Amino acid sequence: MIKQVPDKAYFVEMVYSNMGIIYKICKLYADGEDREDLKQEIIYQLWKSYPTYRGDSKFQSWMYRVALNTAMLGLRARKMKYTGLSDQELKTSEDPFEKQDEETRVKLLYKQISKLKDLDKTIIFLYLEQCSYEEIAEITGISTKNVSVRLVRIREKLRKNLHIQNSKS
Amino acid sequence: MKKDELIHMWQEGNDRMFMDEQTDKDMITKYLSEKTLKGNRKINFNLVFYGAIQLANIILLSMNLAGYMNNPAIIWILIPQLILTIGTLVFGIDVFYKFREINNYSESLQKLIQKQLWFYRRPYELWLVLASISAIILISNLNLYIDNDNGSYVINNKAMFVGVTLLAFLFIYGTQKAASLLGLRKLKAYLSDLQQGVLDFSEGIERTKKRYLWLWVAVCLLLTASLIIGILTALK
Repeated sequence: MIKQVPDKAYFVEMVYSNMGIIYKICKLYADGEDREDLKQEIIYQLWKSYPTYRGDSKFQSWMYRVALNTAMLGLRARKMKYTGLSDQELKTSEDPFEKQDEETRVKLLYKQISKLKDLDKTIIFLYLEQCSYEEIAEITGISTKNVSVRLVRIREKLRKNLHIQNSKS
Repeated sequence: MKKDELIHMWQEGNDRMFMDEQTDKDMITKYLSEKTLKGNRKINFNLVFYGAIQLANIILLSMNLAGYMNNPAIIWILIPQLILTIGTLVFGIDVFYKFREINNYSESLQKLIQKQLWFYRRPYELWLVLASISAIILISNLNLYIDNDNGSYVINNKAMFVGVTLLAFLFIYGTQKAASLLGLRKLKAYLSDLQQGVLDFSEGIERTKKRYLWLWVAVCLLLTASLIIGILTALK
C-alpha cells in the first residue's frame, strides 16, 4: 500500500484560515509564555495527525479535536498550571457588565470559563463555537445526552457568575 | 440574558480581541518541524537514558563473563542477567514506539485518555520495574568488574548487601513512579469526569486495576528479593 504524502501547502492554508480556533484554545488553556508554546505544539500535533484526517468530516471539527486534546493532554499540559487571565489582561472599567464593550465582556467570559474544570471548559468552548451536540459528543467521547445535561449546568453557572460579577463591579 | 447571548458575546468579542494576533504562513510552516517544539526531547529522556544503561550493562556483562570464565557459579548468574538486559532493551524500544502511538491526538478525548492510562499502567509500569532492575544490574556488575580477584568475588557483609540492593531498587523505582504519578492522577481525574454518570461500572474497574497494581508491585519485590538471595546462595 502506498502511503499518501500529506499536502503541506493545503494544510498550511487550512490552518492559517482557522488560526482563530488555535488562538481561542490557547487563551483558554494557557497563559504567558505557555500560550505561545501551546500554539506551537498544537500546530505541530495537527501536522503530525494530518495523515489521519480522512476528509469525511469538516476540517474544523478535526482541528477542534486535535487542538483540544493537545491542550488537555499534550507536553505543555503536563507542566502547565493555568491561573486564568492576568489582571493586566482583565482591565475593566467601572461600568456595569451590560455596558462594557464587547472585548471586555468576552474577557470576563474567558475568566469565568477558565475557572471551570477542563472537560467543562472543552464542552462550553465547543458550544460557543456553535458545534452541534453530536460533534461535541464525538470530540469528547461522551454521549449527546450527557453533553446536553452538562451544557445546561455549565451555561447556568456561567450566567450566574457573570451576573454576580456584574453586580460586584 | 437570552439563551444565545453567550454565543453572541463570544463571537463579537473574539473577533475584536484577536484582531492584532499575527501568525503568518511561514511561521506555521516553521512550527511543523518537531525540532522547534520546546521540551519535546525531554519526554523520551527516561527511555533513552535507561536504554544507554542497558547497553552499558551488555558491555559490562560481556566483560564480566570473560573475567569470570572459570567461575561457573558467577557465570550462571551473569547469563540470566544478560538475557534479562537484552530483553529489557528490546522491550524499551517497543515502549518507545508505543509512547509515540498513544500520542495520536485525532481520537476522541475519552479514547485517548483510556489509551494513555493503559500505557502508563501496563507497558510503562513493567518497563519501570525492569529499568530499575537494570540500574541494580549496572551497579552490581561494576562491583563485580572492579573487585574481580582472579575470577572470584567475595561479599563481606551479605545482610548489608541485600539491604542496600533492595533499598537502591526501591529508591530508583520509587522516584520514577512518583514522577509519573502526577500525570497519571490528572488522567484519572479526566476519565472519571468523562465517565461520570455514563459508565456505572467504571469505579469497579478502577478498584480492580488498583488491586492488580499492588499485586504486581508485590510480585516484583518478591522476584527481586529472590534474585538477590539466589545470587548470595550461588556466591557462597
